[in-house]
Order: sequence, then C-alpha cells, then structure tokens
Amino acid sequence: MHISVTQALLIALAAYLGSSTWFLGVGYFTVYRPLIGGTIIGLILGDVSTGMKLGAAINAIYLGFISTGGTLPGDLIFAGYIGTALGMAAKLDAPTAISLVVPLGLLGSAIWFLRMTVDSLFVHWADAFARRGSLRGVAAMNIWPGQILLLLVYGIPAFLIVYYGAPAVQSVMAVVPPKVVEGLAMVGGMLPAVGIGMLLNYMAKWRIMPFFLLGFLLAIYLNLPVLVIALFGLIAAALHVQYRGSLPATQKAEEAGAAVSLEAGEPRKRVTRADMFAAWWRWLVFSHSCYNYERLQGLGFAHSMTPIIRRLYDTKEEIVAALQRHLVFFNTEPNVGALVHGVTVAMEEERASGRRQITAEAINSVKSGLMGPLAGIGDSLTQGLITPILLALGIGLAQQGNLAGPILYVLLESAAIIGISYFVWMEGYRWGKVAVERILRAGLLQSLMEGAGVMGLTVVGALTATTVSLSTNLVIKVGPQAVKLQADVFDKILKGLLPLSLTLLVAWLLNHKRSPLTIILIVFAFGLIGTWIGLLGWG
Amino acid sequence: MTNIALVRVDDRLIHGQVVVKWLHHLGCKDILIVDDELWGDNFMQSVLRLAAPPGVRVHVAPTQGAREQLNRIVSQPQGVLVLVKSPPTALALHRSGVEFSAVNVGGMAAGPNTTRLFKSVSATQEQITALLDLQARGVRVYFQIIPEEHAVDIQELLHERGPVPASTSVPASKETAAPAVLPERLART
Repeated sequence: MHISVTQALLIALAAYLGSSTWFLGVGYFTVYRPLIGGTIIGLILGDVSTGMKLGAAINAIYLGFISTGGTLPGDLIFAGYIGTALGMAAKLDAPTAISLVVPLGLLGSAIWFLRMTVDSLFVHWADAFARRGSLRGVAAMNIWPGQILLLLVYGIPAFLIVYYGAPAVQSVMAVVPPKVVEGLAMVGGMLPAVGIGMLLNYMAKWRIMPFFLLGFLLAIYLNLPVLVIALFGLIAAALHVQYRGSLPATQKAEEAGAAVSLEAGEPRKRVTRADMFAAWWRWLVFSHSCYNYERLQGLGFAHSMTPIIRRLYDTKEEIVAALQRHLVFFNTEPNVGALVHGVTVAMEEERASGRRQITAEAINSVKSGLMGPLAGIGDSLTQGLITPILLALGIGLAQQGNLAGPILYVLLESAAIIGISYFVWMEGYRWGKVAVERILRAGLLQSLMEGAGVMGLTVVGALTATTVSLSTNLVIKVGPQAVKLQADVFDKILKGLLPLSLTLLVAWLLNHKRSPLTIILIVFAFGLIGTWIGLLGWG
Repeated sequence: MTNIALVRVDDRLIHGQVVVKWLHHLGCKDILIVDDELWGDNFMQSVLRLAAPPGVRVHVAPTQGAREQLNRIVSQPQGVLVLVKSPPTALALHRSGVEFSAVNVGGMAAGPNTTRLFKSVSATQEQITALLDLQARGVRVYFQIIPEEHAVDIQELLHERGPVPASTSVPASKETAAPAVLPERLART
C-alpha cells in the first residue's frame, strides 16, 4: 500500500493529538492507546477494519502499561500509530507487525525524555508571567509552548518514519527468508503474553487467580464472545465481594470537624459553580500539557487555579502570591488526585475571606501531603484496573472485527475518568481536608477494587486465550507410530496449554525481578531460533 | 534487627510509583515512614494509612525512635520498606545505628536553591552533602525512580555530568549562589 504525503501528514497530526491530553481531557486514557490509534490510522489509510485489528493486537502487548510519575515503559504513540501505519503499508499480518512494533516503542521513549526535559524550560517562562500577576500569561505558557513542542517531537518523526519507512519495510520484508518471517510471526504470537504477564504480575493475587482460569476456559472451550465473558466476570465479582466476609470495621469521618465556620458577620468570598467548573475543566484538559521533570504538573495546577484566583483576589500582590504559591512542584494521579484541587479551592476561599491562619504554607503542605497518597490510590484504580479491564474488553471485540470495540472503550473509559475526576473535585471542595477520610473510610473503594480485580482477571483470561499463540511442530517417534506433540498430547490435555503456560511463566519471571525487556529479548530469540530449527510451528 | 528491604528517599512518601511499582517489586507488607513532622500530624498519618493498599501496614516513627520502632515490627521475610522525605533523615538513621547498605533516591521536588540531579530528583546543597556523607559511610547511594529502570550510582551520575547541571529555582526565591559552591564539593568524590 502506498502512503501519500497527505496521508502521512494526517498520521503525523494524529500522532500529535494522541500524545496530547486534549480530546476531552481523557486523551491519555483513550486516543493514546494503540486500540484507538490503530482505528484512527485505519480511517486515514482507508481500511478501518484492518487498522483496528492491528491496533488491537499491538495494544495487547501493552495491556500492562502503567506510567507513574513521568516514567514510561515504551511509547504507545510510536508503537500504536506509527506501528499500525507501517504494518498496514507493508501488508504485514498482525503477529509479524507486533514483533516490529516493540523496537519502535522503545525508540519512542527517548522522545518522552526529551519532552519532559525541554518542558522544564517553559515553566520558567510561566514564572516570569506570574511575577507580573498575569493569569492569562501563565495559562498561555501551560498551553502553547508544550503543545507546539509535542507537535514537533511527535509529528516530524511520525511523518518521516511513515512516509519514508513504509517502502523500506516493504523492500526489507521482501528479501527476508520465509523462515525468518514465520519466526517473527511466532514471536508476535508470543509477545502478548508479556503484556498480559505484566498485568497479571501487577493485578493478580493468588487467591483470585482462579477467575483468570475461568475466563480462559470460557473463551477456549465455549468460544463465548468477550462481552459475555465480561458479564460472567461481573457476576463472579459481585458474588465474590458479597461472600468474602466483612471488611475491616469502617468508620465515618467526624463530620463535625468538617465545616470550617467563620466568625459571625465576616464577609465571605466565594467561588461560583461556574468558576469551579472552569477550573476543573482546565485541569482535566491541561494537567499534563507542559509535563516536565522539574515540577511535573506544577504549571498545570497553577493554570487550573486561574479562574479561582481571578474570582477571589483583587490586588496585584495577592494575585502574584497566589500564582507563585501554585507554581511549585506538584504531581498526582490527575483524576483521583483532583480531590486535592477541591480541597485547595476551599482553603483559598478561607484565606481570601480573611482567615489568617490559612497561610500559604498551610495550603502547600496540604497539597504536597495529599498528592502522594492519592496518586497511589489513583494509579491503582485508573491505570491498574479500569483501563486494562476496559481495554481487554475493547481489544476482544475489535479482534472479532467489531467496531464497537474501540467505540465502547472510549465511551466507558471517558465516563469513568470524567466521572471520578468531577466527583472527587467537588467532594474535596465541599468537605475540605476531611473529604479524604470520608471517601477512603467508606470502604466502598476497597470493595470496588477487589471486585474490579475479579472481573478484570476473568476478561484478561479470555484475552489470553484469544491473543497469545504458541504451538510446536515436534513429532516423537514411538516405535512405528509418530506422535504429534501438539495435536496428540498437548491439545488432549488442555487446549491452549502452551499459551497459558507461557503467560503464567512470564508473570512468574516478572515477579522474580526479571525485567520486561530481558523477557522480550528471550521471546525474540526463542521464537526465531525455535521456528528456524523446526521446534515451533503451526503443524 | 528487622530486615530492611529498601531505604528510599522520596518526598511524596506513599504514592503511585511506590504503591504500583516498588511494593509489587519488593513484596513488602510493612512500610516504615521516618519523619519528625509526620510523627506529630495525626491527620496525615491517617491519610497515609488509608492510602496504603489492603494488607500493607504503615508505621510512622520520628528519626530518633526509628531504630526501636523497626525492632518492634514483626515483618514478613520480604522485609520493611523504609521511606524518608529527605537525605539528612537517612543520614541520621544510619548514624543512630540503623543498618542498611544502600539508599534509593527516588523523588525530591525542585524548590528554592535546588539543583536538578536526575530526572525528577532535585536537591539542595545540604541534601547533596547528606548523600555524600552517606556514601562516605559506606552506603551505596543510587538514583532509581521505578524498579524497571536502570539504577544510576551517585558517583556515576556526578562523573557523567561533570559540571553541576543548571540551577533551578522557584519563583518565590531569588537565584542564589548555592550552586556555585557545588563543583568543589562534588569534585571530591
């Protein structure tokens, strides 16, 4: 397939948009993922179905992808967008394309490092605007320089690789010996085991591992559609949470301490509901717009506070002080962590209303104290549970050629992320510091996470059955009889025995401190050599 | 003495990298946070306890009481994850007789008078001095944000960087002369 200049430019633009947090503020959770990236590339190249299936296959190896605190194992834009485009242009089948995508993802990590480093510079430009009390200037510094940089560092490589790389991949694949191509396909069949293994290593406790097997068996023996298996998983989760015994005694937060009453007669400054919405929206969309190593989301935080500062403070000195107070280091999981913002707005209101004991230090110590713990919960919940579960579902549907896969994923994921973010932001404002205890003590979160773990494992079990593949060509001669190891032995014991064992082995290796990269290299060597000597193959 | 799995300097204490990555990597069921300020803050202690994943116990101790507290923890064979906010606390711990052979520096925010050392790790002169003192006491000091990444030893980092990286400062502070003193200090290593 030939990729035209226009198509390459569109792909470059899509790669930028995918890497940005724009798109309703849930970009990182939706368009960043190869399932969606592949679908978009398919749309640009005029074959949505192929793009979607390729994206789904690529996404399977990044199912265990969790980025925390600006650390990123591989880059999903390079893997998903550029990988799909190259794969489609060279007409590669999914397993072969997957094996080529891994090095692309690693290459992309360098871009991330570059971006985080250069963005540190822009924060100092924002500092200059803050010194002049310019709310607009600080907002502009959060939006523009970082986004222009992102457009350049993703757009240019994407264009070059796609436009010039596609013919190169085609001509290379044409001269590679068929045995090697077959070996690459074998590697591609095994690689999803690494992604799933990473997720299992993170998500699975041994006591809920049977649910993984449940999903696997439902898929491999009953061939049930993934959506149905997900519903079975939901039933299993509901039963599990109900029957696993009561949680440690939950305790209501002392609500008495919550309301900070003001001395009577004192005029009170308040933000309006529209201010709150404007601030929340800025955070949702621009929290990572200028993400950098120096202060991480610090500029994003200050930007989100601009509508609040504009409402509460009048003099230039107050505005300068407020901007500078919020331009310091900040980093949390942006959705569950939005609770911090709610609490901060409540404290800023108190301060603006003249309560002197709410000092700048008090505000910043609450911010820096809460951001860590909430990031821990947030990353476990959003990146560790909600995203991989819904992705597993979306990938399963997409593999069946169903466009509902990516669409359903985007809708459900956006609803979850936006819902959490809005809810905790408003709760934080309403209850102040006590909101944290109120939400955590309710015990609901723990049940929710336990249940999500059960449902997730069921879906991931099903995905293991449909995405991981490995089979042997080995024939053992017993006297006059030739016993085909795969058909006559393994398949008689348990269908999918090899893929299942491989996936569990990867999870075990990761648990025993082998790095994912080492495992990927072993998979490449084993797949290529195994196919070459005739150990592996589809018979 | 109770087995220590890892001593980590991280001013955000329990957060995403620690919960999602390190706890899974180490398999620890106990976290000991050594911090004098936190010792006196019941609210934050309760938040940190609630924020820890189910099954993980969070203990808090002041610097001086850390050794006794550590002995009291009946830990799993995986050991205890010790978290401190700043290098001087780690140094004080080592001085008070808590035995550990390595310190993982994982996160220190940029602020007034800090120099960026590594990714999201910035340090003041005092903090760098504490790290170098720890190294002088035979403790391996290394930078590593999450377990999947390569660890970079302090001498490797300083050797590689040569001159100290550009200084950074938050808006509230003026540029200070502190970074200018650094090269001599670092040159000794």
